[in-house]
Amino acid sequence: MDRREFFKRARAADITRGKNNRMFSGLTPYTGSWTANEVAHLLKRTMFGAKKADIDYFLTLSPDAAVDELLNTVAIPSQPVRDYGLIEDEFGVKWDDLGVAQGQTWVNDPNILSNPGVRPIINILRVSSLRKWWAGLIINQGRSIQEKMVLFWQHHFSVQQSEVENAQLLYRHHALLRSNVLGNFRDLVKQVTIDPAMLIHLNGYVNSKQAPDENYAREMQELFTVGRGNDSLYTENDVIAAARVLTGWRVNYNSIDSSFDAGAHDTGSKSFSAFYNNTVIAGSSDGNAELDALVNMIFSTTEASRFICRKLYRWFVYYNIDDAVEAEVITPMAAILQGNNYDIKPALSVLLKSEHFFDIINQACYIKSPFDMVVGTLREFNVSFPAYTDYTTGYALFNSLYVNTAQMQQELFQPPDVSGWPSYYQDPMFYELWVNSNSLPKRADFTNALVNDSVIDIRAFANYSSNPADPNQLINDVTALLLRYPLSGNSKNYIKSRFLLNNTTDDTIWTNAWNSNNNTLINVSLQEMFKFIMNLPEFHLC
Amino acid sequence: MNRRKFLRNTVPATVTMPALLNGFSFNAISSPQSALARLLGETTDTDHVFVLIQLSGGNDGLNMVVPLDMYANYYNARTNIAIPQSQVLRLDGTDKTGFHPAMTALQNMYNEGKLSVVQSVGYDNPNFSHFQATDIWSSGDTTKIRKDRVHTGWIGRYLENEYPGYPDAYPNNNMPDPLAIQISSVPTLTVQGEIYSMGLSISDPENIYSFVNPFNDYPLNSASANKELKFLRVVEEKTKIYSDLIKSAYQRASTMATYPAKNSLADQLKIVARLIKGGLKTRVYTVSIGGFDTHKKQVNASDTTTGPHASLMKNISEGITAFQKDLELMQLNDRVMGMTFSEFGRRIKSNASLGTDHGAAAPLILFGTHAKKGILGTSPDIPADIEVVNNIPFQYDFRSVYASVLEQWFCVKRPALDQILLKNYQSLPLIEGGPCGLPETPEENNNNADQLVLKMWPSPYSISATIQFSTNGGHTLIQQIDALGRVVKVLTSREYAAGTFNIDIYNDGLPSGAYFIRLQNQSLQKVITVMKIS
Repeated sequence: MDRREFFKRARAADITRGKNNRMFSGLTPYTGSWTANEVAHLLKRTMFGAKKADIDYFLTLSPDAAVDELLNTVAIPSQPVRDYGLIEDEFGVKWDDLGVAQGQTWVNDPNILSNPGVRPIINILRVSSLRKWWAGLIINQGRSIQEKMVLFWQHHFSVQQSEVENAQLLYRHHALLRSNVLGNFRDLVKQVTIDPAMLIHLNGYVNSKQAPDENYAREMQELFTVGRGNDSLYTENDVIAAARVLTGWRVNYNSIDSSFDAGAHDTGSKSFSAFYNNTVIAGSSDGNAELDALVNMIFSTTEASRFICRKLYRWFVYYNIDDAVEAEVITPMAAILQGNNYDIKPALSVLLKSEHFFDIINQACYIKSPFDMVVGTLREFNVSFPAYTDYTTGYALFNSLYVNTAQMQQELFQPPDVSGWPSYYQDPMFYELWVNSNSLPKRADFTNALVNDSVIDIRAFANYSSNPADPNQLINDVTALLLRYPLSGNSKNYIKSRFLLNNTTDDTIWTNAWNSNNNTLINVSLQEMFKFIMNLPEFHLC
Repeated sequence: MNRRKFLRNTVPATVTMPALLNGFSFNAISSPQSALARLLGETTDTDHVFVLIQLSGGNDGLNMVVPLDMYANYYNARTNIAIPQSQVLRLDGTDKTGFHPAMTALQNMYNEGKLSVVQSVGYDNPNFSHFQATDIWSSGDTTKIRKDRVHTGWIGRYLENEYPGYPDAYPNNNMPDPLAIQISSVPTLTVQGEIYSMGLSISDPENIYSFVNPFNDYPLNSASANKELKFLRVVEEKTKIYSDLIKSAYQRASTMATYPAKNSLADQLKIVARLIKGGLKTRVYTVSIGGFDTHKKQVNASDTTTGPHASLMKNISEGITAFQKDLELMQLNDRVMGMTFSEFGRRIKSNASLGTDHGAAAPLILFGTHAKKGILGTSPDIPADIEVVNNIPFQYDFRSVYASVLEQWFCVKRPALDQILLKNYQSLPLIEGGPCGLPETPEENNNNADQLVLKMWPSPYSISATIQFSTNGGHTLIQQIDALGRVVKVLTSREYAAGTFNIDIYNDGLPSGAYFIRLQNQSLQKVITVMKIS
């Protein structure tokens, strides 16, 4: 290590000394060991669950190449399709969706051809198809960060089905997030600002010169760009001025897009505070030019780069951003983001390849989200699902994923409010909000059902072990795959004795059962053991 | 895999939306006995229960409690959504204020003497963000920068003071039940203690959780991972213990009144009544109802007494009334009272989309057999020349309401009270015949407030002016508040002997415009409007 590097580290150590025991390692590239432990850490944070086959695959790459592959693998999916048949009304009369045939995509059809009375039902069915399609993409994810980033943007912009109530516009919004998943953040904000679903979600579509509506202008700054950190000093007048800049944007339901109505636009000049360098946006009748000026003004602040980096950090690493993390991780990461003109990928790449990301202090401290729990567990047990395009049998299964995660409080297209899921912002509990007396029984019901109903193949999973006949090896191997938080020797002995050795200490009981292929004994033992492991507090960590 | 079984087990007949999914999340755990608890020591012995109803999204207080004595200006400010004067529900003993027409049930409850309305509750420097404002109301700390705010809730601090050592040493003989129960899927900041939530979240009281975690070691050398593992272990342990207690209490009792259907607030309150009847000694319950963020179409254009806000008013009114009836039939009404709150009120002036944007102060309601009948405070002063930015300034600090509840319902004494609320707040006459003594009535309070002198001359003023005020002695505070509802000057804040005093203003540096001068002396306050011209 060169001298500059050495002193840089010493300084970082100084900063963190005495702070909650948090050790420190900055954005220096990680060059440490590359074992199943590090690979599983990377995969469980950037994907949903770490499959044995994926761990084996990424072990053959370098850490650098592994992160590159996760970031560069992008699939462009085909669109969701009509999976529903005829619609029966309350009088038993059957109606068709005249806009689109079964198996065809509905995303470009404005739902204006069918009987007006059934259009709302068609809309509900289309939203449902959209959710199934999305859940299908998540469960069928490739070796890519893509699906976790799409979900991140849903959290970030937090558009809610209950506000938008239009499947076509929701799909359009989702497709926008998906196509910009690791793209340019400033462009994404600009496009989201006039995206029809967002115009409805935060009332931009009623914002006019005659009656300004500040809803979007406020959340754009507070929740989407500069945030409410200590150095974010925008004012109430900045909210009012931004609302005036954004007057005039309207939604066209039939063409499924938005447009600018110059007659509703405030053509006066808009003055901003010192936080925005006292910028004045000249009034004009060119809504796009004013929007550009507004977005450029916001993104010229350093806060705009730091705020999104803090959010990405909380999504991928840990929620606690202390002074040392702010100084040695967020600040340099934000500088990279700004230096790359707000392209997300280079900054995220540096974070995921860093010593800090792989630091032991950042491992096993992330409480699984409902999607980590539901999809991650199904993937780790290698449960096979139909392709996401399979609407005849696949969609129904994907719906069960949507329902389970929704019951555990992470519902696609329906975050609880405009600021996304509280587990990523609500001080002081953050991730801990996912697990409580209400959700814990639901998580337990889910994992118990996977075993009881033979959804997962526990024999196949046991066979991942290098020697399943040896109860010590078996427990070492399966807990290494399922738990990021290691069990002590005593705890493993407890599991072995209670579930595999009939409460004795005689290892041959299990070895004989396995070798003689005593199916009844093996299956009962494994069932109880896997249920137990998946109920452990350790199982909720990744 | 077995698809049929998987489907059968995981797909319920219908997907419930978040409001119904809201269960009870519980997060309760131990905190070290705080310095606070040691300092205050004294515990209070009462079996009284407090129910907190959160109206999420920012309730339009002006259409809930309509200022009849300001009706012309009210109507002028929000013509497209105004409740017609003739349809405002009249209340016994006042012609100044009435209720939204959908609130007939609460009108009756008011007339029966079971309702106390506090006008214009808020704080200085109102925050217009849902997230920040909810945080402020929950924590009881208005510090502008969130990072500098306390990370505990006001109920959390009260419970931590009352039950030190929770959750490690609980349940025990002194407190055999959850300290607080939230009918919600996620614990809220309101019940947050130093480290753990002091509340248990549930959505289904009959849900049973039976896993027992046998491990207690921490083989990994990582403070962050160990913190989360400890948290998970405690949640598992307490969920197991408390879910049994909750289920058996719930099953011991049955509902006695008829609750309205399709009313999520009523559904939640119904569970609360059963749990109290079932014998839980739980002190605080929280419930919530959403949908108050009425930026658009809060009323139907054809009839402003109908529409989404009217439905919400009806749900609150009928939900609370059914709950009160249930408690009376269960003979528990002496022990229970409740309160509504919302993160902010809405703008005085309506917008063009039949809605209202984020505002500042708003009325809140306390209910129960021991609520002191009356309207505390005066109708908000609505300017005739209303502008978009005009907000309702606060008459009562929300922490004064909290202080009054803790003092008059849970018998918390000073200085513990001041520690819990981080400062000393005035006590207001909100509770009658409660366990902790008898304050004055709202009428007496309003009359006494009327008799305080507060005037300013000249008005309008430009460079210099004089404020004259009287005080009954003790701490006296005078604030100047701008049209947005923000306190821009504190003109005095100190101990006075009883008497009448003058304060001279010279070249105060404030921009011209309308201001409010607010006088606070003990439980009394008075607000006047003044104008500055250049």
